[in-house]
Amino acid sequence: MKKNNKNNPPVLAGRLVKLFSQYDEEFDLQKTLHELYFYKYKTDGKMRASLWYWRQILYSLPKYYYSKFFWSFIMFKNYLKITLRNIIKHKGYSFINISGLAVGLACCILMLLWIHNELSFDRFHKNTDELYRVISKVQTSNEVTHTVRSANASGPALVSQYPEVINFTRYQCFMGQSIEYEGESYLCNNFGIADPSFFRMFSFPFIKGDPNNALSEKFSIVLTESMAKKFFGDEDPMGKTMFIQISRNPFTVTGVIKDVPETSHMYFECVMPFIVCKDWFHADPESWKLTMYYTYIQLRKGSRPEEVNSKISGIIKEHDETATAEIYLQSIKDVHLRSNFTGDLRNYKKGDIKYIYIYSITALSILLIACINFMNLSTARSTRRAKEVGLRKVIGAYKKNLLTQFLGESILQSVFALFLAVFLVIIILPTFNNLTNKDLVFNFSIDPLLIAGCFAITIFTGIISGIYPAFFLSGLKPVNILRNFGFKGSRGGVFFRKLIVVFQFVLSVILISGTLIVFEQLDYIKNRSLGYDSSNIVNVSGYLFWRSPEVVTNELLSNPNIISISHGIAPGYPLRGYSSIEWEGKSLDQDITYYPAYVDYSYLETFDMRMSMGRFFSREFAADENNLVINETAARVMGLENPIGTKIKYEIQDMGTGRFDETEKIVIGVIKDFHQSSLHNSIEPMIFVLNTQLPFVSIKIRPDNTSETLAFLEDTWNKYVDYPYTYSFLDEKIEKFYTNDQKTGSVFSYFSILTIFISCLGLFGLASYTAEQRKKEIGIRKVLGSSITGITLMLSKESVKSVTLSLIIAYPVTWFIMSKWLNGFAYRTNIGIMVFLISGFLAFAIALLAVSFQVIKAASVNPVETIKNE
Amino acid sequence: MKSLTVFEETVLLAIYRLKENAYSVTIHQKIFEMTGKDVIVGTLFNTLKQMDRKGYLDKKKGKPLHEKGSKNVMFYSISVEGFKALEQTRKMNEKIWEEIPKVLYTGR
Repeated sequence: MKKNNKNNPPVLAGRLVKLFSQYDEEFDLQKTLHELYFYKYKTDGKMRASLWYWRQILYSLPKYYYSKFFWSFIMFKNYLKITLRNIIKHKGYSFINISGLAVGLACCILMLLWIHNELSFDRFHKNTDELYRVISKVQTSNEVTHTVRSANASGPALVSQYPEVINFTRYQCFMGQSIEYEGESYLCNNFGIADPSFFRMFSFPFIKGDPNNALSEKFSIVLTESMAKKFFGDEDPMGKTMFIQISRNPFTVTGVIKDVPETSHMYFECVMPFIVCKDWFHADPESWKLTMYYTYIQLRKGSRPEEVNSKISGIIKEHDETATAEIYLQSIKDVHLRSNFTGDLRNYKKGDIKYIYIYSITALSILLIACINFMNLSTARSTRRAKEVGLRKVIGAYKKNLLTQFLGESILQSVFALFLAVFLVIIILPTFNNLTNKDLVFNFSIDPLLIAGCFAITIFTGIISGIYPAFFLSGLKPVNILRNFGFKGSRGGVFFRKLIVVFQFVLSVILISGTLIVFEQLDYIKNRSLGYDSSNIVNVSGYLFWRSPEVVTNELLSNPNIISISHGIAPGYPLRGYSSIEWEGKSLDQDITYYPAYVDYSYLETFDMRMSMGRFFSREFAADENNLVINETAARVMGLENPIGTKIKYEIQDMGTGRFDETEKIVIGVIKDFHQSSLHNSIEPMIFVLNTQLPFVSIKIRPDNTSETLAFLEDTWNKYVDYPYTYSFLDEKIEKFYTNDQKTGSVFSYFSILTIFISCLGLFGLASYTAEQRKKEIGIRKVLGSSITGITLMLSKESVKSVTLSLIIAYPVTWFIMSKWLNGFAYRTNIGIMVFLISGFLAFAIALLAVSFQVIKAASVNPVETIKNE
Repeated sequence: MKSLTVFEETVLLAIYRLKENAYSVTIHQKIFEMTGKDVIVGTLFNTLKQMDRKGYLDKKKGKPLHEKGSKNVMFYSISVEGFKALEQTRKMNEKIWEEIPKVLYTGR
């Protein structure tokens, strides 16, 4: 019969027929329908015929699917039964499999929680997508600095000059102010300053008051819920007056907001309008030179930041010719993870996108190892299922059916592992929170995404770990199995399994070595000489007001436990860089970024620093007010071989008035380099200027009787100064530079332990299986006179080869990765041989231990038992 | 006593009427002619299979007359068992309908 195109039934319907009817010669559905269609077509035309065709097919569908599902369900029950029986029958192996997967899953779940938290910073604002932070970029010959601070007037100018910018606010967070209400005072270290538009741009929910004009009055203050509770209990704080220490005017409470959530990069306990800073800090809102504040802007919906960036970058130069800064925008969403700027807020937990990658890769690799273990063990034990597979195939199972069965098995085990994993996560969560400084909660009701994510990973794990064993098992030939033709484990499987063991060991060795190196670097940092002595130094801050420094200092020095006092900047506290500097012999294109520090006469002594040339400031020389000292790096960068006597002209901001002054001073000495900031950064060029009026003080005390001395300090302080006394230890602060790295070290070590644990599990299972396989061989060898040790050694040979191979692979990879990490430090230790020796030794030890345990068990069996069935 | 379902009965009678020319396509068309029902081909097949299992049909391969050079198609005819079953069904039906007035309901 010729196939005339016009005569054929609808193509789509025809395809459906093929889909759900298996070819049967006697009952050929397709042919019958085709023929009937042909007749219909002749009598009723194409339309009616096609409709008839569709009707025939659609009515057949439900019956087809019903029967399919019915039988599928029956088979499913069978599979389920067999799976459960298998799991129970081999409790040991099942436990190894499931717990391995559970550990991997638990890691991933914790990682999910953590990543979700990190990625959700600052997303709770309604306008999140349109909010940006202004960053200033300054380029000098020795570095490019990106600062988060921007000129006071940039905000308003941006709004007025560019239509895409629809709103702006300045923001800053100060510490060290005490707030008082009816006699009760509280030293607030997080009080915020912002323009009235702040609450319109950012969504901080208001409990009382109106976000639109809470800050419009000059002397208004908005409290957070906890702060309101602190002062007012359950009373309504609205309209009440409070006193801020620095201000003569009282403030009225105009709003109460919910506490700032944990996922916000801005943290404050109360907010006051920016305008008050004009009185307090001489912050001129119109100034283009003053850059103490952060500027946030809101773009119009739909504007693209790159376009806006290119337009606004030169705005500072427009208004201030001497400025060298360009500005650009950083999205609020990037602030938490991608901020590596100077001058950033001091009171927010900074995250780093690098860690997200590192931790997620590590978690995934642990899961991967667990899956591989699973794969390994399942294929190794295939003999046990071989008879079942052979039988099923003979009865009539297709390969697809077998695949489904075995895949289903692994998914089921994966689901069991999920339950165990959730249990583990709940137990470990408090420790994890401690480690990562977060407050993560594993709560199903909070986030449906979490549940979906968990299940997705589980199914994914089940599929990955199950797919190879499924294919392997379903590919077994019934002939070989049922006739018992020397069917022993598999050939191809053995190679694959060895590969897997090697891979696991590679990962373990990398993690172990990595951990050791991280700890070495941390140790190095702790012990490396910083160039000064930070021990036993107490810092007391009284930022802005301190009535009679000389008197207080003298009284403090009268105590024998106090060795010396220095006013001014201390090492370990961040400095701001400036770029307008001139010195004799400077060439035109030599622009550097320098860091000025205010110090007093006792600076050298208090911190135990040394001079390399010339002398430090001394009371004997009255003219020292016009002199300055530079450090070795500065001398080098400026190209001054003999800097003593060189005149240096620089511009510096007066801390009190905020004005910029240009002064010229003469170098009288060069101080030996020391680390002002963490060892992550190289030493910056610094200039030291005398200023005895600064209220930030470092007090060196004797190591014994610390508590007495501290008490004395507090009493003296309270005698002369009006407001609360806070202190800190310098060495503790400096240690904090490296908390991130220490955390990395801890996380690395936990991951190492986990990886080793899982690898051991895998190795253990595999070894026990191999030993059992070779039961007969071992029995015969025993009979022939070999000792248990001899047998152990012989069987372990294989593991030794695997481990050696993995070491060869792991060493260069480790070296490469760790070098990269260490390069993040300006000062780093070398990767030594010891690390590799230790990790290699550990790897061998683990391998041998796992294998020998099993082998010994097998070898101790009486040969009679194993050989008697021959 | 074996009884046929109504549909089985219809199919068998269609086969009977078709004499030598009873295969899937013709049976379907005959049923439509007889009852006006556009039967779903799948159910027809299932019924044929079932009756074949029960032994009511004889099968023969052959070529359909009106198509030239087509593949073989299975022709059905009623077996002895089938006839027996048909008779029993008719007898039962008559018995059930015995003495029921000829017209039970007038109207549409």
